[in-house]
Amino acid sequence: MIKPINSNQANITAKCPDCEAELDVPADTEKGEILSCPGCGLELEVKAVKGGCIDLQELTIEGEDWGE
Amino acid sequence: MSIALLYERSENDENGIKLTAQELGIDLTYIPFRKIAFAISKNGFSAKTKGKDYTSVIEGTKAVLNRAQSKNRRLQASYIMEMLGKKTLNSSEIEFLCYSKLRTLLLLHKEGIPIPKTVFVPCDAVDAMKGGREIHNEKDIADLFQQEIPLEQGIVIKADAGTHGKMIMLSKTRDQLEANILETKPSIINPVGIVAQELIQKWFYDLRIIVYQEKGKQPVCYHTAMARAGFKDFRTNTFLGNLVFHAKLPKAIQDLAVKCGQILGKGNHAWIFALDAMFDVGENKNVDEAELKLELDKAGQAFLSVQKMKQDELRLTDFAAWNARLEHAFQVYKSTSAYEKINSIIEESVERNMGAIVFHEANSCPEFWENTRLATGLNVAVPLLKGAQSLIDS
Repeated sequence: MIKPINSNQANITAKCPDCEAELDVPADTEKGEILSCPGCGLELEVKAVKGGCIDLQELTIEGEDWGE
Repeated sequence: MSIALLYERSENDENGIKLTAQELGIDLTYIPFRKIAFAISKNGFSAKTKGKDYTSVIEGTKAVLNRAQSKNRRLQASYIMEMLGKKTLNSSEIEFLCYSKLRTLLLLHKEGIPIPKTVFVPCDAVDAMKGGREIHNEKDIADLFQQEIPLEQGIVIKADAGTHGKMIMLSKTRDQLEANILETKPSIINPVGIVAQELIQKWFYDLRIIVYQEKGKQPVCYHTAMARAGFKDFRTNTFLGNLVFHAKLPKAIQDLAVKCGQILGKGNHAWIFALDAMFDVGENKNVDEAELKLELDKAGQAFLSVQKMKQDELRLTDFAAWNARLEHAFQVYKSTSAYEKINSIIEESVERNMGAIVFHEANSCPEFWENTRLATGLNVAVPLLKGAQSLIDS
């Protein structure tokens, strides 16, 4: 669970788990929504929103030409 | 001036590089290579995401560890960084070469390195004509392959730029061969034509050998390779569920691998490769296969706890703690008698079949954290970081 660094009625501010940029997540965000980190562009899935805390998890993406 | 880690997503290898850099006291900066705009104009260069300006990060970078996961993006990244005056590991020249199995094999063959017999037919299985008609070439292509490789020996069709065993198909009958040729449509991993190889009778394992060079130093072949082993498939990719072991390398193989590295390094000052090699063992097997399969089954059971740990979500929240648990799980696996027996069988087989080695692929951006590092004891992040550092120091 990503701990909010600030939350009010309108937004929850969380940190990107990768680049640590701050994300302003609307408080009415729902589970399953996909957010994009403004700092690094990483796609993050909202796994849960509960009591001012938001669980963001990096989406697993793998392109056809991803490899060594 | 610093080293930058360029990446699309922080996967285990990239997190491992970050962790290793901390341990070595090397400052790393990060360049996400995904939703970022690289702009060139009369005003110069800029690199910005929606929320952050990376221009000064890049300006302050002297060497770039290129870990973009997509082969095509990796190639573009290396060109962009080099045009901005950055040193890259690996360089765009090397990335271009390793992108294609055919290009790699052509160069190795030219320099006398043993490779599997390889056949390239430039045309595609199906040509589209104006008006929607199609010309089917699979029968002609199959005839051309069979002219070069006896079908009963096995013909392996490969996507030229594929990884993880994707689009690698074995044919032993004419119907299979034509179907596999048809399957190899032009795509991002197989831009044009069709590559086929003889099936090497490699028994149950192949090797992944790490070679590297820092600027100003002699090239190195790490003394221990990772052996990927199993009878699950004719492909031995770990991605396909095969097991991993370590195998000490005879000096002659280390020397040959260094030569491969120098050839593929093309005069670049620093480079790193994971070379994939196998042995045409044929019938020169040192143990009974039934006994070997029993030991592999036992090792497979012991490996389950490693696989379970690999999937543990702790890696997403506390990478260092997850890594410590993964290392412990691997040590437990490595200490089993089945592991030790198979390791001995592989090392003896390598000794017996040294003269039958063929190199079939070179990987310029190898995955290493989960398998190669734990099996061989070489943390590839160290030569990667030291290689980049050597480009800055000189």
